Amino acid sequence: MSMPSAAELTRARTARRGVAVMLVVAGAVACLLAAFDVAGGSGLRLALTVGFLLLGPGWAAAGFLRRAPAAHMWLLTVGVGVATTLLAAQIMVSASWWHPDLMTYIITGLSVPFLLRHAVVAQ
Amino acid sequence: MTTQDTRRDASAGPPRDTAGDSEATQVLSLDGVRNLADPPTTALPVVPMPPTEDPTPPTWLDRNRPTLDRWLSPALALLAVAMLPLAVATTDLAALDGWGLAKVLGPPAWLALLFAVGACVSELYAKRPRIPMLGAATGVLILCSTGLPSVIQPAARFGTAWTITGFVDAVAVANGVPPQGLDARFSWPAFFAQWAWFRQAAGADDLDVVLRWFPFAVVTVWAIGIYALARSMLGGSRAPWAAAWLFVGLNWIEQDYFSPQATGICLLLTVLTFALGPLATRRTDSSGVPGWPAPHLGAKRLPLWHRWVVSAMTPPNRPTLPPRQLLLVYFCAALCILAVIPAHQLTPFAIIGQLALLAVVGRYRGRGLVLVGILGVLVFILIAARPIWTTQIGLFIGDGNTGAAVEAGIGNRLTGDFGQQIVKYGRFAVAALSYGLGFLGAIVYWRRRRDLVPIGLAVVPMGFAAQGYGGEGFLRILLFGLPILTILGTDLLRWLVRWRGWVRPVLAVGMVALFAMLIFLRGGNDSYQVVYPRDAEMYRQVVATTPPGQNVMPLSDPGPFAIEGLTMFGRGGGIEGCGRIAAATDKVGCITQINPDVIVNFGSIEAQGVYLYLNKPGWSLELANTLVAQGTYTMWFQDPTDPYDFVLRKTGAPVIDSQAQVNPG
Repeated sequence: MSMPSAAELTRARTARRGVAVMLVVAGAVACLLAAFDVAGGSGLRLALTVGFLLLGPGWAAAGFLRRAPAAHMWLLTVGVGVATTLLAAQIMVSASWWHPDLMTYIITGLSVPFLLRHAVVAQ
Repeated sequence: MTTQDTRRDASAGPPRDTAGDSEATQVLSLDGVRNLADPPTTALPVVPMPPTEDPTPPTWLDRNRPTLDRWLSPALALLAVAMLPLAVATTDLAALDGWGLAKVLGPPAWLALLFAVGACVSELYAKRPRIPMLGAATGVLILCSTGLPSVIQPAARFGTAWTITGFVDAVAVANGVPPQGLDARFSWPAFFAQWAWFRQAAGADDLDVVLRWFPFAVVTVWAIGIYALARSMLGGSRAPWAAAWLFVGLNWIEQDYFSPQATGICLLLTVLTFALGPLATRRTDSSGVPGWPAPHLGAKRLPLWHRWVVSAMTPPNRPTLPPRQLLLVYFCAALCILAVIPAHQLTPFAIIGQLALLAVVGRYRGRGLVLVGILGVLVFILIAARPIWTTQIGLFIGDGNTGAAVEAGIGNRLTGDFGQQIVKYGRFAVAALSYGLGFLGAIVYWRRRRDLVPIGLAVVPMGFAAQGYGGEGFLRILLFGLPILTILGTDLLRWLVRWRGWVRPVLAVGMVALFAMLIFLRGGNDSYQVVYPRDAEMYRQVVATTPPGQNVMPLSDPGPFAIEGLTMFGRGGGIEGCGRIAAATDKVGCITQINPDVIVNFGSIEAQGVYLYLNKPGWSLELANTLVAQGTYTMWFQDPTDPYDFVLRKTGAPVIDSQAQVNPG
């Protein structure tokens, strides 16, 4: 398997930065929409919220992978995103502490610093 | 190879023309003495190529190859997507029968599939396949095959997916408290809680859109996983894509609906990909030789048992990743294993089984992941879900009655009219094809790499055969093994292509046939799996107008039943032979015994009765008319566009004014 060229690596880094920035925006908008309880009639709020919660935590972790193929990056992103939200939901159920909005803020607050880091320093 | 002596004093070898050779390589110091230890390199005489006679003129394909490589695949992918709206317009869902979706699809739908396969194949055969284009073509292929029902049908198909959205609703309305004693699946509530959280955080009333597109999204993630796994196992730049397409083509199993197991497979593939990829190790010495090297050339080989012992005692080598990267991957893999434990009952055992096998043969770094999985399962069962220990333990250990499991998984499924039987035998044939490809591929893999571990990974889930999970147990066995089987099958196909070049076009045609078969098999039950938005709306009206505590019963499983108000209403039941009214011989007698307050019917239930249970057409409406004629029930609602969408209420049963009722979801 050939090594990627410098140009390919640069393109990959730029793409990773772009994904991180988009996820930061999605997370912030999802939290704002939840905070102001904006009606999500068009499905935009649902798409933003679900998209961020499934991908944001995962990208925050996968962004630390060095020179990994895009397939590994995305698989780890989805895997960690799904795993984090499953565990967070189970914690809410087991602890009888059901606060969907608050948990969204927590997940966003934990993910966004790492996402911002990946937006600046792509591996 | 050096072909010229560049030394200034070279005396041996052919003469050189040094006149005016100011740019010849200069050697600084040789003292004018011939160095016997380092004689000059002899220049080989240049043998001129024989003159070619009448070079073959390049064909049209050769001349236009660069253009075709660049534009053909994107053009075909765009054509495939452009065909989809036409496919929606030309497909007559009202004509669905026992042969399923394939029979009613219009030509644009088949053209879309053909173009999608063409986009994949043309990019794969390009001189330099582009990864982004292959990824896009794969997405289009999934959309035009697995995702075709999501495009063509107006709502999510598959009644079970709607049932699960009812579970999500039950968790949401109870503020995160799963109902107890209602369904065994609530003992693993993480998936339902996850989507209840998403729904409430997004301020959504329902998840109908998520349900509709979930199969496409989840199969795309699976395909990414297969590609990543195949990159590690097969190498190369083309075979991993072929593995992903083969997986999509063989995946008729339909466990990709909105469900915990679909999510569980994503996590399983993540763990497996990283165990066999970045964490992969072998029990070899530093030069890559397994076991002890032979003492001398031509020495007799050690006995087999001796080689096994040596192999088992050789510590696995280290992955090449830096320690911090390893730690990151361990952490993420452990997170995935822990997350799947409260979400699904079987997937953790599949992951632990496969990781345990890999750990025994020393194939990955981080055997502690097995321990993490086992401890997680034990803690969840003993502490977090104590009721499972007392009521659902049979789900884990089974009853040992493999014969009954086989009967439930295979025998009981071979029912229905001729079209249904063809569909079901076709599914068994494709399952056999999957295993056949996998086992033949294992032989090729063994000859190439002397490795039988992959086929072991595919066999591990067969342990579920002894587990009394029910009819879907065999589907799970196939699904858990399918990723490895398809990767091994791809190794076989690659061997065939390398063996005989003419196999390539044959495989391209085979890919078209496989995906056409996929649409036929996956859509085989669509006459009674199709759901319309009006069905969901009708049921929501029933929920809004029925007082809590009443028994609300469908005539069978299909359709969007119990999508809301799961804990508000009873369902009757418990009568021998009356589990599904559509399949019962004495339907009126069953209803009399169950005595439901509300009876709900959908067009899909009518179709199931006709094509699966061989009732005569119109049986459900005839039953309704009989009940109304008896005076026990009144026709409360009947859809003007589909007379089989109706609601019967017991005569005199109270009804709530739906305008005053707050939507319970």
